[in-house]
Amino acid sequence: MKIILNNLIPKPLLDGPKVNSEVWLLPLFSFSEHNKYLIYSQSGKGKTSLLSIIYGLRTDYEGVVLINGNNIRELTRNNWVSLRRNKISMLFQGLNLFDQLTVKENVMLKNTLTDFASESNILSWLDEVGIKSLYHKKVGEISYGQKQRVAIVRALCQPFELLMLDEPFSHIDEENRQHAFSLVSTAVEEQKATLILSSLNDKQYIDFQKFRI
Amino acid sequence: MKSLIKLLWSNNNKASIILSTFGLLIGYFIILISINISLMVNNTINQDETLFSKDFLVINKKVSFLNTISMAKSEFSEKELNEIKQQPFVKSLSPFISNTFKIGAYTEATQNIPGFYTELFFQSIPSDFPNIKDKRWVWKANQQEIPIIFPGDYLKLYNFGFAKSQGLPQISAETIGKVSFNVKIEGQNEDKIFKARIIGLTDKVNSILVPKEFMVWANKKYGNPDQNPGSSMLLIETDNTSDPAIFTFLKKHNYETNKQRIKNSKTSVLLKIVFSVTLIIGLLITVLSLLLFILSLNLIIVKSKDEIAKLFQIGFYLNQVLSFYGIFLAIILIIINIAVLVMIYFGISFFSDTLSSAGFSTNSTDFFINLGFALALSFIIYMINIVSLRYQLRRIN
Repeated sequence: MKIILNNLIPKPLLDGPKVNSEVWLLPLFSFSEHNKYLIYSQSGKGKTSLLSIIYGLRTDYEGVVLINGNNIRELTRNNWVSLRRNKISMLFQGLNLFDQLTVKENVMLKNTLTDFASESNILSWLDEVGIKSLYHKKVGEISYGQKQRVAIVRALCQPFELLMLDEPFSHIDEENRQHAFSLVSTAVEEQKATLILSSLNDKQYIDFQKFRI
Repeated sequence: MKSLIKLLWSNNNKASIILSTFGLLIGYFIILISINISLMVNNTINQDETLFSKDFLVINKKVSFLNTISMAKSEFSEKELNEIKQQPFVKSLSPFISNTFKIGAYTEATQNIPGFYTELFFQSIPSDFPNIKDKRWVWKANQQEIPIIFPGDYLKLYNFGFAKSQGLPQISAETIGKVSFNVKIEGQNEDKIFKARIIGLTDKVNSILVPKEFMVWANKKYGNPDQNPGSSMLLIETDNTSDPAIFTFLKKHNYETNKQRIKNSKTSVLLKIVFSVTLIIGLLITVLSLLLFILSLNLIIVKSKDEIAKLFQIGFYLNQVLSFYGIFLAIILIIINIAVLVMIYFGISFFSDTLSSAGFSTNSTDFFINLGFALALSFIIYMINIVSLRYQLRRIN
């Protein structure tokens, strides 16, 4: 999936101090197919805003965003739903899990929409990130780090050409981070997808193209 | 689906939905019961409108002491008939013809109907009188069965007077149509026995009516040629039975009309007003409950706003979420429909019994009419809610 940004900036950033970024307000910035990108900066610089704009959740921006040549401002509500089911998957910084549902119900809610993964696949992914034992536990009752891993597995339950992860490992210990990262990398490889990952710093992620936002 | 119920329904306060559902039920009930009772009362008051149209009057001359001492004729003369015909309110005019032969009616005793013999009189109006709609209202030469239209008051007199005092069984309007009795006509030293069948009851004409063909034939063959079969009663078709010109004319010429008909139409108008007011109250309750219902659903959506937004973000279509609420709404409306139809059934039975014990014959409204009204109302409520829900959901991103 090819994404082109043209002079893009969220409106709230226009009111703040002068923007010094490798992404915002560039005449041409592109995410090309089957590449890995790291968007990093300290808090408040617009990492989440960028991913939200590309995912169609925010429209308060100036500039143009093209996905596969189409201006995303012209997409209808149903176009977005179709993209979110078949082309773009996202792990939200706030995770957007349902606390009142179990881990299984959360993952299955997404998977029944796409019918993408088998239950045994899902169980093996959960096992890989160390939370298989929580399968029937309510999400509201598990730790934030565990929730992040549930959200990662849910994000993989669909076909995608672009996977966006917004600070996905912020509350996960190093060992589990490596397992989770390996799971994500395999899925991205298998689906020949583009990966955009946001983080507070540019440590690790060796084979990524890195941009300070 | 189970997950959606947990997300969109279980953490909501259901009291307002239950309250507005109950309000809708009451509103439905009032609307349907007022329509039902209105139809029943209309049927009861105008039950012989299947036989006669609304717009006719029966007129006759006032009977006075002079009639008794045979100094004044109760029949209308040719001149008088012509004068009446020329009145602007008269669309058509049919004189009643009386029998000039002897009539005796009798039946053998059966299990349900006691045996009886009585002398009778017949009157007739033309068989093709356009307002008598029953196909059996015809008599041809040599036909053994005579169709008869009988005054409803006579049946009431029998049921509530004679039958009660003699301990005889009461006869309903339906039963009487199934019973045939023998009619013996005598005159000119001859007699003949016919079967007679009551094909309908009327409260508008206080006379026993037979087709004109029969009467002309029988008067010719058995009638007393010296006796005038002439027209002492006239059936007048008019555009408007409450036209004041009619009453001015009748009063001027000392004629009488069937006051019951007019009284009935006044009662009918009064009842229609009462039922219209009840219907409006029912509609008002339904509309208010509907508003409360819409507000309650909107409240549920507002409370579930975050969950709905997350569903959209993970790839749910708006119509998927809308159909969840649509199914929920349909279940509520089905429950309301079943409950209200049961309530109507018992309500109408009660009302029907009350009317029957007051001497009215009643026809309950068809179940499918009630179902039709309830479903139509449900469809409107469903569509209004769906439009409102769609609007609410579209505001969530």
